[in-house]
Amino acid sequence: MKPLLDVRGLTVELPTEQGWVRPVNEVSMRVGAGECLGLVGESGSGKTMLSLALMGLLPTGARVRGEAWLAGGDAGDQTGNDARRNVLQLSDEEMRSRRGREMAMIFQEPMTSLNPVMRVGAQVEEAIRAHNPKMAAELVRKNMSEALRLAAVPEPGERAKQFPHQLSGGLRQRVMIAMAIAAGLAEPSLAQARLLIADEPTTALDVTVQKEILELLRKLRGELGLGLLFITHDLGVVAQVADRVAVMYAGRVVEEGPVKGVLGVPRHPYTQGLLAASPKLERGKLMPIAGSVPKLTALPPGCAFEPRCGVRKDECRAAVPELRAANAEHAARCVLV
Amino acid sequence: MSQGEILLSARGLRKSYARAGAREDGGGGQRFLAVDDVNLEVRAGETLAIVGESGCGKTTLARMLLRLIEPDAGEILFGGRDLLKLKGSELRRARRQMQMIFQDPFASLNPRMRVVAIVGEPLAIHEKALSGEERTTQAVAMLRRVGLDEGALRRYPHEFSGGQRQRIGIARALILRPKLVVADEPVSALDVSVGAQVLLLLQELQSEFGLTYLFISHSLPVVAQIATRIAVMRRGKIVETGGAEQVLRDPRDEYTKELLAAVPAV
Repeated sequence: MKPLLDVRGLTVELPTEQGWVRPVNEVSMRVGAGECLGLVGESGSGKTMLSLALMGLLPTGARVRGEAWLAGGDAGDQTGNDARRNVLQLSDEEMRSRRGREMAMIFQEPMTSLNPVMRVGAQVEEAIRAHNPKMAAELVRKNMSEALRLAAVPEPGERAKQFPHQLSGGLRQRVMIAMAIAAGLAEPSLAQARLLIADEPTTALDVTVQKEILELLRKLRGELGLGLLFITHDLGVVAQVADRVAVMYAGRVVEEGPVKGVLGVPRHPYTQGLLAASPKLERGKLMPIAGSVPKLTALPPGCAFEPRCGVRKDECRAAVPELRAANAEHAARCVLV
Repeated sequence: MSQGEILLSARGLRKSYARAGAREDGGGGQRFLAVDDVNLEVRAGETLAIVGESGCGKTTLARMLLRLIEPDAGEILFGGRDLLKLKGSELRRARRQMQMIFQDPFASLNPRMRVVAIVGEPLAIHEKALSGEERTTQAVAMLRRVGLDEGALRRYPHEFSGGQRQRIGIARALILRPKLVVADEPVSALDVSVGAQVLLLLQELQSEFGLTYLFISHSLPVVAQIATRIAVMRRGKIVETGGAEQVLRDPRDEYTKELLAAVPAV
């Protein structure tokens, strides 16, 4: 099966006073329909900049290279054309027609993404109308209710009339999810061809609410064939939500593979370090990773993790290691693999 | 004070706030009980963790215990003295024994002060007899102890990473050698690898300086690493208190069980 999203050698460069930096450096990854790829990294790893590049939301002045192929709906296949598009090459207009329809994004803090002076139902309707300006008002309303229902908003009729500040954090995130899926509901051809990028969507929520949102996302993947790119710093959340994981460090993917393999038998010293540093319910000796993430303006010449690595060798300083296969599905960017 | 003696105790602590729509005369809306009849004891040398979800009242409770918020009702004994009755110089003397570490290392350091002034400021307030030179010497020693070198002194907070700023906040809290340290979500704003460094540092400092910790957190896995005892809060009340092992392994309260079940495990 062709992947829903196929990213190849994506590089993002930003201008700084010290010259150009690369928050995203030669990143390749795939997300299949109905699949969840967990993208793990600490602050400054480039995970958010990567998602903004995919959405065409990079800050002005950013340079982007590489390819990011997003599958189109069935319509493209019927005419014999490949409906895939390189989203990095789209014009602003083409991007607008896809963003919110074929690919959507939800963020950590739903309150800052919602309009505080607009009823939430109207905001979901706006997301539908943006792509279907001629749709009859009645149908727009029906799709809005359906989106709220799919996002498991309780009493959707009542909630639609409320303003964001009247909703709890968990409900606001459900409304964001409803907005993300609403525009595509009107187009059956988009079934199995939609991507949702979720950037730390549960980090600001209580654990009991987090659990509900993670369950909702799992359900929507099944029901709508939604591909999910789930960005988080929390390895526990990744273990719950993802099929496969990519671990980023200083702009590069340093390890990727099935979630069980990467978290169960991590091959990169950074992934091993993150696991050892993550607090668990069993009291054990926490093993922090020494030092801190390098600045993008002062990356070491070889492996970016080398200065903090407990098992470094001389050759690690010479060149950036290639991604090496640990087995057919699991690879790590380390000379020890 | 020797290990195991009660350093801080609270009886019947209560704090309510006006709900939106409430009028000053008490009409128009009900009051919201942020902390509802809480009793607790903190023993010298232990780490009592207060765990709960957002809005449960854990931060209001912690701030009342330091008398940063005045309770509506209740009694607080600190080192055997009635904290709520202290005034003026007596209150200041008690306050130097209790210090706080905050969640957000960006918001809790004055951006216009150099690190040496931030860490030395508690000395300037509580030990006025010290010369500027002596203050600097003590600040350097404390900064070094928390893992920052002398080069940090002349710099401003924005020049440091989140983890380093949290270390500056810890140095400021410890420079007066307090007995009690209230840490409100001290690692939640930090990356995992840096948060682990700060947790280990807090543990080392506890045994080195004989500190007692009141550790406020929403995260059971974090609390599991550091707590001697755990109190679980919900809707302003403590629903369960016990030894850390017991609460984590054999919780009695349904809500504690629910919280534990919701923790995503690696």
